[in-house]
Amino acid sequence: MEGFRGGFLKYQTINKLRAVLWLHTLRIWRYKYSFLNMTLNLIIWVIIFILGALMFLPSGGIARALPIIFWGIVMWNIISSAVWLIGGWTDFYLSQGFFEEHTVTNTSSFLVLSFRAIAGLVLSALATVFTYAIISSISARNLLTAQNPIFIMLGLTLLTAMAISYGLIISAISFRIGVPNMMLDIMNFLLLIVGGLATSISSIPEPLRYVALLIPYSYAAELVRYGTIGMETYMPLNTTLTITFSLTMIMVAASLYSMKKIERYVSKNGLKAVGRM
Amino acid sequence: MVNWTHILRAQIFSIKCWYKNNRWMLISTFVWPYLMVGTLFGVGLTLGSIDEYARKVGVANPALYLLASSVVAMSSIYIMYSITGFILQNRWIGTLPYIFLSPVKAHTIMIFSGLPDAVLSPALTTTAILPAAIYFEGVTGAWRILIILLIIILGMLPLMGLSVIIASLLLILKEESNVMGSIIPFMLLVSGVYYPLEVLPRILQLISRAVPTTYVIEATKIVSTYLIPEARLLMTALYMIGLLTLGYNLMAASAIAKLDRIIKYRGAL
Repeated sequence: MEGFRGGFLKYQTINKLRAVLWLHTLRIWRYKYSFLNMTLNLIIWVIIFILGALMFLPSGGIARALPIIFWGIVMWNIISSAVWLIGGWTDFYLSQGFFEEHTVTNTSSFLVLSFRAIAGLVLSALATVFTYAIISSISARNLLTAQNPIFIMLGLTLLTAMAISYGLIISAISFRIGVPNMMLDIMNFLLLIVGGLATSISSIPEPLRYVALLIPYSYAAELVRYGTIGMETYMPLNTTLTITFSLTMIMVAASLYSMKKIERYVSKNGLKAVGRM
Repeated sequence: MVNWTHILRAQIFSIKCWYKNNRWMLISTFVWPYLMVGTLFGVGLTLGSIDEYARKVGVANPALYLLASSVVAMSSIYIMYSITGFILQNRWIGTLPYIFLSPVKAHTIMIFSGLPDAVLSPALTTTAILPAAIYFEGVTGAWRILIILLIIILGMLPLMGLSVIIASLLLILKEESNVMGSIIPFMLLVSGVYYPLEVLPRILQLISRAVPTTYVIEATKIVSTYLIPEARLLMTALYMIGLLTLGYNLMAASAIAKLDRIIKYRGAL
């Protein structure tokens, strides 16, 4: 009997995972124009800021700065997509009454939200391709030249894990209190500079540098820059690696903990948002 | 009988409640222009210098110019989102059919529900940069900002027509988000919001001539750069805004009745 029950639960879990995966894949296809619009929106804003920032550079300095800018944008794309498509989407999810619908079918809302990362990653990938096409058209150097591909992969993977965890934490918070969209935007903008994404930690002026050191993404960004253009990390490489791994683990654990805790709280006390069913 | 004044009053009350209950929204309106300029300065200064920017863009005070341009950018976003956002939000929460059931025409609802926010948001963002303008240039700076606000409000007129068309298309397309959202950043891109238009490809330079924000940015640049703005240049920009207002609103007027019929025929609410 126990074996049968265990097998049934396993079957049910796999079915739920498949259903959630199918849901997000279908949504990407069904809302393809929205998705394309989001990508274009992101890219156009990036171009506006790049063109603005390039005006600060003397003509000779542009070629040197473009690879740094490109990788900074790639990393920012990943974070921004994860935050918006997981954390920002929660508002839509709750207002449409999806929480209630999933509760009725005994499906965890956080499972649905976690798989939203698929949409985030597809958006980042698409945005990266567009960004590459645009920046490489004005760059004389090959932007994809890598000094150490392993560190690029490692840095980007850890950064992605951090970004998804951050998105899920925001999502969990949104279940209890409203997270203003503008605040997400402000945080995203700040990350570009103080988060050590657009520039290395060492080139950030002294008081802000300490803030950058408090932001987990800055360490992963250092690894990516080391792997791409061979820029020395602010701290010794081994220390940067250890810190990045530890911070990723902490963020993943924090997201899992907050999701479980909020889910328990919401089942007992109900949602703050009013859904329609 | 319900008419546009009732919609306007209801929307003003709604905005009052929104700002009262969403303090963050109010705070972020004040922080936003500084954040945009801060980001640009942060990235720009770690890679280059402010003098280079002043030389390339041809402005006397880059900080004031960038703040004013950011206000124009933000105001354009607010103006267009105030109309399209109203439609989307109400569709999300299921109240759109009730709103459209009122005897007032659909496009009147769209325009007058977006109008208060479209006026208030530029006023708030210009107020936000007022301390910086006074800090940089004293009373002259404050006057400049006031003129820029008037230009933005003037530039709002063609954007309103455009927004109504976009909002109607949104209803027809039935997507979950604002699929036309990238039009606004695209308009800002071709308007040369933080850079001279000459850096853009020829085709985008040509498109920019039909975009209202290009002339708002141009007028902003003139006002924020010269102590006594050159009347001829300023008038050319204002004349173009007037021309586009007429063009876009005529287009909107002819398109809207058709779109209204399609929306009701398809039950797209």
